This record gives sequence, structure tokens and C-alpha cells, in this order.
Amino acid sequence: MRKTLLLLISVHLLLARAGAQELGANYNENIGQPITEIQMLRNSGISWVRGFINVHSEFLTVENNVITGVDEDAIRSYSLSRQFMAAKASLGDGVKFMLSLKIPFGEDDGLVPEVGSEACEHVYTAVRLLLESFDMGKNISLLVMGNEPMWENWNADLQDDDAQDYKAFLNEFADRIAQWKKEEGWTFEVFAGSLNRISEVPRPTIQAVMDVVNENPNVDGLDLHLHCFNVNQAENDLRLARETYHVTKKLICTEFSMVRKLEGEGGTNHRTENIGSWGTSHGYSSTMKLWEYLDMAVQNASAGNPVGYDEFASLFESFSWYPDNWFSTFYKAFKKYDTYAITGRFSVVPNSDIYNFAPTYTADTRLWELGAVYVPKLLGFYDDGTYVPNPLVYPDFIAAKNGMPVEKVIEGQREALIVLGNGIASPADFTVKVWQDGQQKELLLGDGYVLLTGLTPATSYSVSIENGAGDAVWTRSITTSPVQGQFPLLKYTDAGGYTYVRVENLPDDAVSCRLAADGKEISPVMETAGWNVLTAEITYSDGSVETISTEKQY
Amino acid sequence: MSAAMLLFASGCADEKKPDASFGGFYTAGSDAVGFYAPGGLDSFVEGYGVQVCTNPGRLTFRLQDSGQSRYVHVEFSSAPSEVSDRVTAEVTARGVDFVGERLELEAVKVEDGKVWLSSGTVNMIIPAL
Repeated sequence: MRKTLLLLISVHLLLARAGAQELGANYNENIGQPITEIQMLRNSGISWVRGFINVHSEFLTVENNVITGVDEDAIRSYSLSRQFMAAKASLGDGVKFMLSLKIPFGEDDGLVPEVGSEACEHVYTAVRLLLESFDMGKNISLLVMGNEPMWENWNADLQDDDAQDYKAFLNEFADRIAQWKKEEGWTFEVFAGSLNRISEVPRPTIQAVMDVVNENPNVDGLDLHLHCFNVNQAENDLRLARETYHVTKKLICTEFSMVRKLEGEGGTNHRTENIGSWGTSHGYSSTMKLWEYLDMAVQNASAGNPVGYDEFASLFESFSWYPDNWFSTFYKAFKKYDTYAITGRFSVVPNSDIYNFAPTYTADTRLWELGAVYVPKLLGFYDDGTYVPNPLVYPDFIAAKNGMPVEKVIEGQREALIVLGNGIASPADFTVKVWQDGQQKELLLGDGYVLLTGLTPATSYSVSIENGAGDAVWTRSITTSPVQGQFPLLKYTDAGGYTYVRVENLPDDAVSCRLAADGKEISPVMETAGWNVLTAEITYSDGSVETISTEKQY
Repeated sequence: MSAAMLLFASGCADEKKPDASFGGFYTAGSDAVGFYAPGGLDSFVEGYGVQVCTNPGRLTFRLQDSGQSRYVHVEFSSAPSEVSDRVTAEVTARGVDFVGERLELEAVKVEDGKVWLSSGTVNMIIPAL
């Protein structure tokens, strides 16, 4: 529906809690997987991809539990980094990448290395080399220092997690990263975390990480993991972070699940529960166990005869213990506490050892897979090769996505594209406001999206969308990318039904720039995807014309 | 006589053959716009994910990938348009090590809007400027 939005640029105080809650895909250590399912990621409309690398085990040399050096060759040749960055190159600017640094110190002599020690320097050196490899630092948008340190630094023998040394380590780490960013021109945000189950786990490291987030200006936010037993624990943790620990910076959640509930932690192991009368009404034995059904589902999917989506859904509807619509409950909490981005388990593919799972189910198999959005391992593929979604998560995921006022934000150097989501049904009833140095400006915009132009590179803007009553329904800080290259670069991005085209690194003597697709002039945001060759013609003040052309990559 | 020389001998009988002092020309049969290391050991050419950039007014030619992690930007002293034209090229490159910084090139072939340029260290096929 073609509507026109009026853009007002005015003084805006960012007080409203109507954050982005952008959806993403989490891969944990399997950062080589995204490149294998690029089309699924594009189709899903997610805005983030997240994974972690275990810096300690992959890149540090350790002797007698002491970090003694850095394996530079391992870093420079790490194929998973290459694959992760290949996925970023394929997905382009429409999908941002997060990298978590898993650095478990719990088995090290002395636990967390002291700042200034050789061991500590080795860790920092390894991370810097990692960020330099495969242009990682240039291409990620967010880096998390740490992964569940309240577990990973905990030494059961010592009953200690060395929180104060970890606080010093993180502060120095954040300051070092800020310096590297300045030297290299990297622009990613830096978060600390991730902290898991903060409302349940009384570990000193939690306070240490919170202090770093709140006090260090080089840290942009906090990463939480919400692996809950009760569905309300998600909100408990988020509320605790905001209201007790007083975190005002950005919150992200890079892992979340109800796996503890699904497995019946501390009580009945639901995996060994009979499927009962549901089984007999669906042609199975009533004494079939849940794990046996799941194992059968995997085998059937592998044989090309998967169980049906509706059958799978109805099985879990029959269980009184199953937390219906847990994803929606979590998402409401994410919205309530202004969570910037959330990355859930995206897919579970067959015949792989992702997440270190066995290819089949036993009574002890962790139920992580039931939290994924797509589960071809359990429910197979459609005829076109796309993954069958998980009825336990997918409807809630789609509802969350469809309720979003903004589907995507793509920040250029002098422009930013905001693609509206289905959460704004009547765009004419809404107003976009941008804080831009106290100046007001009116712009006419295209339908279904907002293209902010005339921006300054490497600058942050506060943007909000307000309804007719003046209530903000969406707020976000947008940061334009810096000018990093010496020469003009033609960029195009798949942006939720649009293709967004622009030229970056335009020099000061560029007078005009004309864009064309297959020879026909286009505007920067075009709806059609059916083009083969994009061209930019840049006219300079000396009258010369530079032509840049590129073929479609996807 | 190398395979490259044979190629030119058989297909370009009326054109001047590459000067042996420039090492001949070998593109493994490709006529893609781009840069070729001697003996076909390496190349950076147009194609998937590579952008072609020309400015005839400024006598510049550039290939770059979509993130500019690899690019070669060449500024010529003049526009080569005929076989045996000699030009100097100032090169700025990233991620493509075999090109060098300053080249003396000779046009060895002109066909279909492209110019084949040969030097002792790197060869290139460029769109006619």
C-alpha cells in the first residue's frame, strides 16, 4: 500500500522505551553453518547473526594450566572465521553479525589472568589478531567480551570465580578494543556478558560484569542469556538488570530457551514420559516415550517421510507441562525492558553434529533443538528445499516479526534506510523524528520505508517513530558508517522486499550520482528484485564521469 | 614459442606480436577484464562480486570486490587505443599483491572494446578508455 511518510527532523529526547527488539539467528560455536543456509536466513527476515569462538581453546597455547602464548597460525587460518565472514559477505548490510568471545578461565592456574601479566597480554593479542583476520573487525557490528563467565570462570574446587580480577580484565579489554577500533577504523559496538540466569545464580562475577557495563564508557551494553525453568524468569532477569543493577545501556539476549523446563529439571524427566492417549489416537503406542518419538521423527525425516507439522504441534499441546507460546512470553518481556536485539536458535539441520548432538535421540539427549525456529532434522524439508519450521516456535517468531514497526535498518555513510514492518498498518498515521544537531527539516519519503538522507558519516542519530498521539512505538540509535575507502564503492542490499542501492566513499568533488539497473535509471530504494547489472555514474567537478558496474550476486 | 604466443600468432596475424621483452601474454584463454600475473599463476578479474570502474576523463580503471577488501586502481598516462601504444600506469592496490605500483605497459591487442596491455611483471585487459 503506497503511503507517504513525512520526516521531521527535530530535537528529540530519547526517553521512550520502545526499542528495536530486532530478531536474529544464533549459531553458538557452529559459525560455519550460516553460509550453508543463506537463502533461509534471507527469507526469514532476521537482522542479526550471532556465534561464538572459544578463543581460549582455539588460539591460546596452555602449559600446566598457564596461558603461555598465542597460536597465530591457527587464528589466521581458522576456517570457521572465514566461513562466518563469507556468510556476512553473502548476506550484506541487511544482516548484522555479532561475535561473542568465549574465554573460560575456570581451569587456569590463578583463574583470570591479572592485567599486565603475560597471560593477559596473550589473550588480548589473540583477540586482536582474530579481529584482523578475514576483515572480521570491519564486518562485525557487535562484539561481546565473554560468554557466561559466571559459569566459565567458576572453579568448583576453589569455589571462586575471581570476580575482581575479571572486572579489571574486562575494563582493560574494553579500553584496548576502543584503541584498536580507533587505529583500524572498526565501528562495532562492544558489550560485556553474557550473564545467564542472573535472578537465580548468586555469583560475584555478575556484579563485576554489571559494574563494567555501567561504568566503562567503552562498553555499549550488556548481553544476557535466558535459559529458564519457569517462563516468567525471562522477565525476572531483564527486570533485575534494568531496575536492580540499573543498566541503562543497551541490552541484548544472544541465547534463550526453556530447555530446563522441557527436560523437567529437578523433577520428572519429560524425555522419558509416555506419550499416552495422544499416542494411541495418532497410531503410536501409549507407552512410547517422548524421546523415542523424537528419535523416530529424526529417522522418518531422514528417510524422506517426516512426521507432519500439525502432528508434532499437537503432541506438545497434549503435554500439560509444555510452556505454550513461551517465545511470545519472552518477546513481550524483551519489549518491556527495551532489549535491542535477540538471537534465538535458528535451525537444526539433519545429519550434522551441530551443538555436539548425536544424530539421533536417547533418553539423555538435551532438548535444545525444540527451541529452534526451523527443524528440518525433525520435520524435513519442503519440495523447494526450504526448511519445515518448528510449530513450537515459528508461529510466535512470525508474530513477533509481523508485530515489529520496523523490519530492518540499514545504515550507509550518508543515508539510512528504515524498512517498515507489518506492525505499522497505516503509515500515514505515524511520524518519524530524527535528532540532527537541533535542526528541523522536512523530507518526503517512499512507501513502506523511510530513507534518511543528508547524514554525516560516522555519526549517531536518535530516531523514533511516533503514533498520532505522540507515543513512540519504535526508537533506535542509528550510526552511519565511516568513510573507510579511498575510492567510490557501489553497494546494494537486500532489504525486506526492497533493494537498497547507493555509492559510498564519494569524494568531495563528486557533483552527482545516477543509479541504473539493467540500463534503466532507478531510485536508491527499488522494489523490483529482477535485475542483473547495477550501474552508478558519478559526475565529478572536472566534468569526468566514473562508471561503476556490478552483476547481481544473489 | 609459448601457448600465449601461439594464440596471438594464429588469431591475430595482422597485429604486431607481443614484444618478447614484455614476457608475452597468458590469460588461460580468458578475455575477462582484469589483471593477470605472469604464467597465469594468479589473476584478479571481473566476475562474481567484482565491480568494474572506469573514468575515461581521468584515465582510470579499477576493479574492486564488494567490500573493497581487494582492489586495484590504475591511472594511465594516456589512453591506449592501438596496438603498440605505450603507457605508464600508477597503481594503488589492496589485497592483490602481484600488480606492483608503477608499470610500463604496451598494448598488444585491441578487440571488442577492450585493450590488452602487457608489461614484464603483470598483464591486464582493460575496457577501452
